[in-house]
Amino acid sequence: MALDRAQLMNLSQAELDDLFKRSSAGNIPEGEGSGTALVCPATCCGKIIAWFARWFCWQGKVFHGKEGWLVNRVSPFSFQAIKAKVYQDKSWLDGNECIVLDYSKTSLVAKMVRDEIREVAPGLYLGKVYWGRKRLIDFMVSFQYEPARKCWRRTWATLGLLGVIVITYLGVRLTSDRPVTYDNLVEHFKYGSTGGERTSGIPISLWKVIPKLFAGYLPGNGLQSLGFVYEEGKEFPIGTSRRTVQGIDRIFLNCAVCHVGTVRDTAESKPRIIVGMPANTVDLQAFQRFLSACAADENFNAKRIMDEVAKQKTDDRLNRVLLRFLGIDLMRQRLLTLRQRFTFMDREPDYGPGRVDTFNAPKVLLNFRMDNLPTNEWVGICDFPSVWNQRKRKGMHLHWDGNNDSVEERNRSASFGTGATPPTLDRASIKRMEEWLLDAAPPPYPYSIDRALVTKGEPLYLEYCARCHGKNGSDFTGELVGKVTPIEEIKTDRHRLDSYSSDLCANQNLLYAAYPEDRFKHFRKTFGYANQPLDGLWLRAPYLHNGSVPTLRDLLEPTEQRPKVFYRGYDVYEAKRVGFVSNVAQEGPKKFFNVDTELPGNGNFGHDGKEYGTDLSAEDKDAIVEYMKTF
Amino acid sequence: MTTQTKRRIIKALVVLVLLGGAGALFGWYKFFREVEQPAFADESERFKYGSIGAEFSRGIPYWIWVVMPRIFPDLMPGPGGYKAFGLVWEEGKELPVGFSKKVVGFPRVANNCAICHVGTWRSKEEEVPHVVVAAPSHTVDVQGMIRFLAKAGSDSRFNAGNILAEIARETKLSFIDKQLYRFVIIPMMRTALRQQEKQFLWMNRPGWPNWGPGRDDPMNLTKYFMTSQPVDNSTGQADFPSNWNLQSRKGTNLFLNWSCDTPSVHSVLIDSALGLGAAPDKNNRLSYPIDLLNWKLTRREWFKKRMDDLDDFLSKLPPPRYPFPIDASLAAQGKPIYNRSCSECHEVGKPRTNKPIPIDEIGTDRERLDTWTKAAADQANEAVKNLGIVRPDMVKNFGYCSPPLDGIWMRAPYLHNGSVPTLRDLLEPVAARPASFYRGFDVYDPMNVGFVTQGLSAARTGWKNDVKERGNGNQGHNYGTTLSSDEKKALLEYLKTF
Repeated sequence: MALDRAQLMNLSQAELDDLFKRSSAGNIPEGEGSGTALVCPATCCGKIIAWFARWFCWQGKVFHGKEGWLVNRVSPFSFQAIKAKVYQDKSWLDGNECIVLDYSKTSLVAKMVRDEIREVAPGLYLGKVYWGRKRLIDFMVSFQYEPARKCWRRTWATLGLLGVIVITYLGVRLTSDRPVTYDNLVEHFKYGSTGGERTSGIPISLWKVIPKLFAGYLPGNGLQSLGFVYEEGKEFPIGTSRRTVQGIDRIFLNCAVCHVGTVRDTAESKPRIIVGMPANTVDLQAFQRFLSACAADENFNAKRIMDEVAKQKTDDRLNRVLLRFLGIDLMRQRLLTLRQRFTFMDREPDYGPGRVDTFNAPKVLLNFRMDNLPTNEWVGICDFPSVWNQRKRKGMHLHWDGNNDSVEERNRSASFGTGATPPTLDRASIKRMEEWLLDAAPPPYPYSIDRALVTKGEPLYLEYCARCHGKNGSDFTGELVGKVTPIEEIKTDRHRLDSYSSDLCANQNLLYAAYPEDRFKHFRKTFGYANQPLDGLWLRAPYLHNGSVPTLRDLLEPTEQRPKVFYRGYDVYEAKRVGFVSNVAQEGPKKFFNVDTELPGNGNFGHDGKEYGTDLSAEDKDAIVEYMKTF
Repeated sequence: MTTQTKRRIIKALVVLVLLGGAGALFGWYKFFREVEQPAFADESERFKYGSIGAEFSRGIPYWIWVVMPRIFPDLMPGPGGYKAFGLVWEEGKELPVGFSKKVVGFPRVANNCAICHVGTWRSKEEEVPHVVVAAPSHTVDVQGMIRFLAKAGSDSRFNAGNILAEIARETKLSFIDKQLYRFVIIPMMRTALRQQEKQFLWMNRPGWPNWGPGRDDPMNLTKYFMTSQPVDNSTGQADFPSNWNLQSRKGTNLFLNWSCDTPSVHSVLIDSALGLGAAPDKNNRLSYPIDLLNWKLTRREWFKKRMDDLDDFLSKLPPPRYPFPIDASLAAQGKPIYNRSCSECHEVGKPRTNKPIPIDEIGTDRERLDTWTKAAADQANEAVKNLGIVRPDMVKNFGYCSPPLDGIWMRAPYLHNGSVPTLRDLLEPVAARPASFYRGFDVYDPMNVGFVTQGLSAARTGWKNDVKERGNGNQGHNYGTTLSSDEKKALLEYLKTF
């Protein structure tokens, strides 16, 4: 029986060589023959290579024997290309006659190639490929069959190739994870990523259109009306970071949203942005409620939103399809889940700008049953703190109730608020922020200071305050600095203290458990509030952990004489009493938040009595306040 | 058969063997590879968090254990994750006391002795609890935990989608691990939990008394899990005992367990640990052969050594000292009263100490006594023998044990069923003892020597114990009840020094 293609495929290299040598040159063929590459002959690998070669590279040769030339069928599309001259000559292999396919004169790309073929069976030619004088591989050209299924092959090959390209492209695109980065550390703190966008990120196109589509849920014009701080020429507010995840540009909050604030000298002056101070104007609760309201609105659907997004021309077609059929719905569901889980907020007084309920949120994260929470844990409102000088704070009891004494762990804990979970936290990025925070310092008090009064105030401060709050704004030494003063002693509003429970503390031990070095180990249940150093004190108004006392001067008054009701969220400074202007309800369209100290969690009592300086004369109090301006 | 066919068959066999070997290696690595726990600072830490060998057959996959309270908060008694079961959870520690984490293929969590034998006390609510090793875990609701696991296992939300989504918030599992969780670990865990639910049906009979915090039904647990005794009508909820100073319980013809069911400290340790899951689990048919192989090859010897260490540690462990002031002169007055009224049965070395006091004589609630039978004892001895462990045999006695009173202040509530909240109450006649009180609250009451069992806080944290319920009777032990009020006071003061 004559040899056929399949049998040839199973011959080893030696057998092929032997067969070639035993065969005569045969006639120069005519017409189209289908080709098969013989690489690593007689192995499984060889078959796969032959298959790939036929699909993507070379399907056969079209002989014009009489005219003495041929052309190959190459590429997935079987183009006729790469010509060769065909003639009989001596073989380089054994010196006998063979048919030579000579590319040297006809083809630029295959100039170095010379093939030798012999007819090993009727209509079946075995060939050897030479590159220069070097032997490469074998191949065969068969005329035993009609050149088959060319059309199919082309289709498959094309689809296959396209498939590979598309899959590679999608693979690269959908696994993309690139934050927008900043070389400058301060810029990095303001706009750098904590990794939260990876799971919580809002597609930027939605971030842009939602305030327009749902303007009715905002108190004023755009997100600015929620107190977000925008720098001139910047499209996104301070405290937002961006990252491309799965090919979609996303945005979410970072640390700066709560720790960058503004100060104005007068209502007419421009706001000064101060990095590291409490975000005195930002109403995070209102932002959250705004998003919840949007998600619950019937207009929060793919059609309404995507029509608007299409106008933005920010997203390509693929992203728009993903958003339309997946993204919008997922985001809606997530927001509604959050809304449902955060209903605990509705049981406590509104936070207003510059405040948050820190430790009921992690209970939600751990999915505690908030409806069964002991009532004394319900209210946990407290001020955003300043974040300067972390190096000097190492080892102190951090957080208002001093429940953690590790700066890094406290930072990881706070990162949950920016959406960063243990697997998604961008550790390198956080580390850069941490490094900056270690030595970041507050700006000095910019208004006039009465030096004589300062001299008078210093000894008073040292007598009354230094033991718990440090010698001054940069020297934090003091017997009780960074320690917890029991609630029976400090007597301030205890809601924030009680909202942090030993149950939560226990469960926090499991956070970051997948990363043993990072696992939370430093949380403690305390029974008082921690004594804080007073760096940059002038920027930290209103005072006490719950921001219940508008100015420093008020804090030195006994409880009854502190303002019962005042406004917060206004960034115009009141230099005389040291704090922000707190008796203005409205500026233009912007309404400020009314703090009612009678409400649970808002109590302005405590930190009161002889040892806290509230019994001093007015002049002495003025002097202490003057001294504290230098912090 | 041609040589070619033969060659092909041999080739195929070689490939199969290689594949099988690789598969077995992979399976062993991912499911059964044991990694020793990191060393513990001291024996007390090891007691609280060290393995007793239960991870292999009873271990819950660590990550499933972590996320379960977050997926099923509605099946828990309150907010607070596992803390809602009254567990002792020390600050900064990854796991609650009584939980051990060990890699057996993948990290698993199981219980150890400390789940029932580490207690806490506070002098006031606003205080971090003091942890006392080997004290009864009087706040821990073991039954609640068992029920939670059963309910979670049969809940439709117990599926790979939910569980993996929640795990993804904590860790990034590799692709392979995710598939193992999805197709093997989670389904097997669900099956195991559902099976376990069936094994505990006896304690979920309608109207059946609950254990509440700090108690279990020890001899029924032994009976139904170690022997083939049928489920009967007995209920024997009993206090977790203290297990410090076990030296004082050793000696010929001395007994342990509330109804003197075991004549040796070593036997009690072994049987309790086996019951907690150190023994191969027959009910898990899928893994039992491997479990048994593991037991015979390595675990048994390791277990024996662990029990020896435990025996050593607990025998020498001193009882905790009373942390509040003691009036020394009053205590001195109490000493002769103790010698007269109590020492006969409670002083180490006295003929009636660590002995069964006949039920008719002691007169306390007899339900616990009646849960244990001679037949059960024989079968339990047989079962332990079959596991290749030699230890003194369990017995059947007909009275309640009279243990020494070391650290008695930390062993409230009192009597075998914890039916009397404080020592002061125990010195009152039955009619004057509280008919209902809250247990599971760890603020101490130095006045009455016991924990605070009345009032709002106790009611909020605790569990209401009703002495009228079956097995909860507070009658009997009418000793010292006729002393004068001053004598009682002096006796109480003296007992604080124990």
